[in-house]
Amino acid sequence: MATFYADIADLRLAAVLAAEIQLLLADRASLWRNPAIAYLGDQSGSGSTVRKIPMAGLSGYDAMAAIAENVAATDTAITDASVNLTVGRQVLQRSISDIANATDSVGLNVAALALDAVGSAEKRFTSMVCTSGAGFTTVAGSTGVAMSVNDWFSAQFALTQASASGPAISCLYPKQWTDLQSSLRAEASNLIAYTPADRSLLDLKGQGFVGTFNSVDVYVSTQVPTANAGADSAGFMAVQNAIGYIEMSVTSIRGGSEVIPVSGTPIFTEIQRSASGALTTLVHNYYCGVSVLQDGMGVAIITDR
Amino acid sequence: MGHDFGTGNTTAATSGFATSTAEALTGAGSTTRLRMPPSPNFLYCHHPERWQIMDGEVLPVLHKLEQSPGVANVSPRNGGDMSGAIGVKVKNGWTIIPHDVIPGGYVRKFEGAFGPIHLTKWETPRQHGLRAYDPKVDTTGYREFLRDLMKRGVLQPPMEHILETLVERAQAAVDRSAPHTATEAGKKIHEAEIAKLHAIEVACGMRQPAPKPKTKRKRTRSTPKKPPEVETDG
Repeated sequence: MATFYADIADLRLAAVLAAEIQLLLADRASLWRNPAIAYLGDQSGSGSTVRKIPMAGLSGYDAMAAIAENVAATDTAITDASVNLTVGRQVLQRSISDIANATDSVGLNVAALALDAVGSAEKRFTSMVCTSGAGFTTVAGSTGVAMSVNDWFSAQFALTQASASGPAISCLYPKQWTDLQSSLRAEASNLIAYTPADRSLLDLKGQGFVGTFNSVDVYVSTQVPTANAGADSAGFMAVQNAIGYIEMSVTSIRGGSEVIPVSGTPIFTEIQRSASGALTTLVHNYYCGVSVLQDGMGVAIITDR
Repeated sequence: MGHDFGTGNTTAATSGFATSTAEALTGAGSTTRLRMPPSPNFLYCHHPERWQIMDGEVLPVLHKLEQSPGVANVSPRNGGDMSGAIGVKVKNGWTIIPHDVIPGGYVRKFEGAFGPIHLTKWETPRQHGLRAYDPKVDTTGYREFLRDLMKRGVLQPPMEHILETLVERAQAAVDRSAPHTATEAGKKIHEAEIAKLHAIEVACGMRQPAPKPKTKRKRTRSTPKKPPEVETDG
């Protein structure tokens, strides 16, 4: 009698795992270490969680004034301002049991969980930047209306009219970006429609950096928050140094069984062991603070979500 | 008999132990917890320069000041001390809108599968199986809330120069689209921009609303007239 697969259930498995893990679909776009977001230092050993960023109206803020040869000059007061940044703890904790770790055949183990630290920190940082960008005072776009080239120009012109200069970035919700792509597709202006670089903006690129439009680097992220009770998305366009961040390195951890610092970053993973529960817990820590530095240097773009 | 699934003597009601209805289970597991990403509690705030046109009305654009330590000066103290963040906002001209500005507050908290989710009271979460969708938004209710904030004086109406800016921006959009009406698509965009400008001008009191198109009165069928009585020779 022939041997059929259906007859040897005790000798075969219902399914075997492929040797490689496929990453689940997720938005992994990051604005971490983006040069447009100003890094303002490490707060470690400073005596506070708050860093005050001083600003002064110098180097062309005030113009000279003509004066007669025989008149004594008077003082012009320096305009000053400051903004505070507060560092906060960002964390991701995962635990894995010994049995789960020991039976691993695909690469989901303690080591893999440790490698998750940077990705999770980047995602949190991007979310913090997007949340900050949604709070710019100047607003472009219309509620419930798909984003268009006009909204883009409104944001761009608002920055120009505010004398905001320097390289600019824009971070949009995916729907905002695809609406802008639709608008670009219908754009009748020769200047835009026949610029070869603009054609490439219609390419499928997914999340993260999607291209440069009118010299503004465009990023797409699902971390862009909602506006108008969830009806809209609040993306932003801003020039360099409109948003800034501080970090805090924790260098003196005592009593920890194992601490894994991520090289060149303040991110570290502390491994905690529960012998009675046979559990290995990984705690990824990242201390940072993000805030708008100069309100006039950015524009919130609020359009249909 | 192994089990008594009928109304035997060992039902929960008679066993002496407390009971409650079990969570509904599906093939995908329990669906009672929302699978949306967690989101922090927040305070709405408004800056006098943030305005928008919603269906022909000039209404404020609110911003969420989230209780998220590390963002916009929210301190890690006590799980998210907002006092510093609120101070900075107020100093920069923002108005903080407290939760109790309306009965029951404007934030709703849901226990999510990955942590607490805070939504506005006008957002209704939607989930099918394991997939959560963007919440359904009651835009009418939210608009009513914004209108109410202004009516009660919680937020001051926009200043004249802000209204002028709104009109200027809309006019600029019309001007930008004007030279591109050669194509059908360009024409439609231009017409839409003109409609938007008119709506803003009406909202700002700079233009009378267009008269509503007259609808033809539907002739109602009256009771059929009695046919004239015919005199009959009797």
